[in-house]
Amino acid sequence: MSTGGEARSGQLIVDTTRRPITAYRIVKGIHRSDHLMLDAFRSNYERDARPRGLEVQLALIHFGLSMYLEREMAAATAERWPRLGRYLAEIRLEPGNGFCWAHTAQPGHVTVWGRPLQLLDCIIDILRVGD
Amino acid sequence: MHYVLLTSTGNMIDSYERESAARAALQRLVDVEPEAAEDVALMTYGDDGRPVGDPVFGKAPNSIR
Repeated sequence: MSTGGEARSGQLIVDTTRRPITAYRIVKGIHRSDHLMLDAFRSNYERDARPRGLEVQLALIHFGLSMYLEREMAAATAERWPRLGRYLAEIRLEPGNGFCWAHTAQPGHVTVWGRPLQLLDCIIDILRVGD
Repeated sequence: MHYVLLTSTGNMIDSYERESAARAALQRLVDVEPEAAEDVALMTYGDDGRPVGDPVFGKAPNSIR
């Protein structure tokens, strides 16, 4: 799916986690118990950020979290803009948690929907960018 | 190439196939919301999903950047 900022007519195909998938989220904290870690799993909507760009037209984008299907994609993104965070949470999106996801934007980028505490429980590793 | 607007929360808020359209959208955001000049970046990605070049930021009104 392309979110199609120009066309605005693309389809958003949302998948459920019928099978586990692994994705990487750029995070600022290194410990699960760190409040920064839970914040990392709150969408822009949950952070009370007003909708911007495509979020205005597609509330699902406002409700979602950006993740990457490959560690290197996430790491390279964090290296280009360090403000995003210096760590990567490796997340195993397991069935049974109500998680949903869709391919959005560039190849390898997905938007994920899930409850923050359940996403936190699905972290299998926290990696430092650059290691 | 894929031109993607990311916020500092790490979330994608828009994507474009043309750089000019992405830059214009970024600047429109900043014109309306000057704080977005530091909070929203335009990232460029290749077809392999890897970023290319440095992030681009909008210019806030009356700013010297």
